[in-house]
Amino acid sequence: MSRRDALAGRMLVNELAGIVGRQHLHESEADRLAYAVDVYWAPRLWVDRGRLPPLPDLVVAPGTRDELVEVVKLARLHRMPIIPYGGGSNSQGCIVPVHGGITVDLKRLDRILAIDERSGVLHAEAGINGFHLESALNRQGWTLPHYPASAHAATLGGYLACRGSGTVSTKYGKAEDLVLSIEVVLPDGTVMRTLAVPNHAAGPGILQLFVGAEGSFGIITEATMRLERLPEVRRFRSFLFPTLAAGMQAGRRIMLDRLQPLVIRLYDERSTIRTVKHVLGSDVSSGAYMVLGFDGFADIVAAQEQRAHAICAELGAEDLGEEAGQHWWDNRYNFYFPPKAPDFPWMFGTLDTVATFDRIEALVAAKKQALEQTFAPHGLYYYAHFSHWFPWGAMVYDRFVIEQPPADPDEALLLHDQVWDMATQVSLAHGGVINEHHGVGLKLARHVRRQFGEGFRVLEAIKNGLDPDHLFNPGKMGFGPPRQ
Amino acid sequence: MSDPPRLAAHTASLAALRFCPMHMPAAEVGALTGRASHLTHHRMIRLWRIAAGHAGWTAEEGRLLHESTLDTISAAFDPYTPPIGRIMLDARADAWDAGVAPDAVRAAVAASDADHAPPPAHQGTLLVCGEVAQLREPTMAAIAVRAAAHAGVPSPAWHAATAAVPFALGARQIASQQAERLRIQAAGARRLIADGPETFWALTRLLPQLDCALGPDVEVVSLTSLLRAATPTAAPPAGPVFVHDARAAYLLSETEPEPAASMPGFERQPGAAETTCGRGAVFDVPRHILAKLGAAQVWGAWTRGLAKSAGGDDALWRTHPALADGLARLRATYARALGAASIATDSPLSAAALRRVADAPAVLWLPEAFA
Repeated sequence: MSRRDALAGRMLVNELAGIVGRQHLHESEADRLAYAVDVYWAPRLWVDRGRLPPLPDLVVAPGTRDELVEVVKLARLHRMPIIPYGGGSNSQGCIVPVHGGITVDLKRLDRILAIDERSGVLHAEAGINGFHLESALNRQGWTLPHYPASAHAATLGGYLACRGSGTVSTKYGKAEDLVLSIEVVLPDGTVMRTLAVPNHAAGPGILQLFVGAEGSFGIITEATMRLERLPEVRRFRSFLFPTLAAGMQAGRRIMLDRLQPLVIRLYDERSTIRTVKHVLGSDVSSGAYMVLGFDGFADIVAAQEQRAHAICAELGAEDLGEEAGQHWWDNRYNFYFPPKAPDFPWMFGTLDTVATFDRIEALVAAKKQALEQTFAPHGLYYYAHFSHWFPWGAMVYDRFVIEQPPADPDEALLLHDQVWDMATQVSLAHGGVINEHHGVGLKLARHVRRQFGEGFRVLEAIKNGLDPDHLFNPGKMGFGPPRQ
Repeated sequence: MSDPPRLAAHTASLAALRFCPMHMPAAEVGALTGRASHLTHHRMIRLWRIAAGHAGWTAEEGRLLHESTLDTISAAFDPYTPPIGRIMLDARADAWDAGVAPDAVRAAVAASDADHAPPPAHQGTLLVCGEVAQLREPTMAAIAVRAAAHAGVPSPAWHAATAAVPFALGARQIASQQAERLRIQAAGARRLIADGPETFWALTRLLPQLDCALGPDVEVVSLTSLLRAATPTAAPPAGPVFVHDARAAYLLSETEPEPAASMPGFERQPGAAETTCGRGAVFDVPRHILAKLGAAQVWGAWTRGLAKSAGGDDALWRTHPALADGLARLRATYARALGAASIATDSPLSAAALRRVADAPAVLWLPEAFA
């Protein structure tokens, strides 16, 4: 126990065990390490180099909302940080317990409470695994149209806490668009429920304060989500554009014409050559590869496809056919299994920026140039694809790789942070937002103040009001350490 | 005498697997306990640390390693089928040699030797009750004998230790000794009938791996495959039936796996077939028998090669009975959620594990329909 003496520590352990049950309290080094590493590169670097990342003092897994409330009250009494934990699949270090404390594993809160068939709405506890939730919904003919790469591991609460995007967000929206209401345990142990529906004129929307707050303002325990019927058809088609600019123009026109594509996935040339060929085995050696998908009733899909495909043809795209598009869809999760996912010894990061159509292309070009020039001595290369599209702009899923980073972990981390600092500065300078769906976490915490400008004072005021001791997920979102 | 460490040979695989959370839906023990340290990638982190020299074997590492089902299902779930089960097996062998196997594991290995008896007098055919012997369940042995006779192959039951238990628990030398003993004692037989998939796997795959292959003139068949052609003597089980496949069935199908799991949004799309969860006779024969019985069958994504353990595999029910019972309970709950009123299996170990669940659906061990 880093923050308690031995006697007080044991007493706290006993009290916590009395709340959640001894079998749901873990204090071994093995368990604490398991809750200290997510998909963020930095804690993995520490493990890779034989070091231990910061560990929580304890891990508890409450089985009910009321148990969680008791844990929160006890932690507050003992001034112990609380780190909410879902699937541990966040790429930003959201769960890294940099100030120690109690990691609260929420996966026992995993019940589907109700499926409201009349409204097309799900009520569920926040700890339910995304894959299991989707499987259960599919058995009843429904889908939560949120298929992120992390669906195998992430929880419903994690989707919301980090404002996630799924593969089909272009049609169905991001996690924050799918949520109607949530139940939250606040840092003082109060249980709060937001209004029953998100669209109203009954004052400001409190719901969205907690969605994306990564546990800094409260812990989401239940959520009401919009569902969709499984579609009659879901079809994909691949195109090869002569240039990325032509592909971008096609995507922009499809969105401004208010067609409703399920997916527009547009790869830059490096991605087309490296990723698509590597993972899908497609024989593509140049150009910009696009996967375009629609779903819904067959006749409506056919009509939308006709218009969208005509736009692609006008812009010089080669139609690679339905089979190639379907192949991409069927294998879309394979990108994230080894050996296909980037891994050590490489240094890598997914930069993830969103901006309006008038800015996004210049932003990407500037970032690529800045990173590849500045870090040329380290062999940095940059590639990107555009995976989430909005009526007004697009998100770029851009990634840097340095295949031979410094051996010394401190030097490697310094270089890593320098790359991120530059990438973030370029995004902000070109009117971008620093992240679209991976979140802030530990990785981007130092950039949030600049991102929000004066708006950060509003966030700080909310934080100070709800969590004056800064015990909820400290070190994330730019709020700093717990207050003594 | 100890063998050289085996885990080091897996360092590259461990490095690739250690940070991948994608196997989480396939978690068996992790799904039961909710502990992250029971998930495959965290197991790989710990084993990688040992393989890479950042940590050593301790009693705690030995405990965690054996609180598992060998995580073979994670390999089946992974589109690139990494050698996760083999890594776990080699880690257990290293842990055994390092002296950190838990007491319950050592006791289970010792018990497996005690389960063995010399072969009975026979006419060239022996019913090898490798799984029933572990259960020490005379009724199941009698059922197996009657079923084999009903299939036209009368044969006495041989309660044999097949090396499967010590091999799974890391006791490689004891496994080799059991394998050698079995090979010698089986020498007079021309045909061996395996009482379940684990026994069939041990006789046909494990013994050769341990350099104790049966002679080329010895035919090995599974009891279930004999029953495929026989006429059932029982009525079909109650209501829709869910078929449970043991881990050994996946091992038998490993050379022809179809590991694709149903992905979100697609589990119940028209045209989905159960065979997408794994192909091979070892999965097909039990279903064929049930079809002959006239039983309606239900299935979900966790079947065939993706079947989650019911706690009967690899002596987990002896080393960690609470975990095994919990896995059986999860399996029964899953079957019920699919609408099953009964669970059928060709594995005596799985049948016994499922029957330990207080309110489980009715459980049919397939030979019971022929006895």
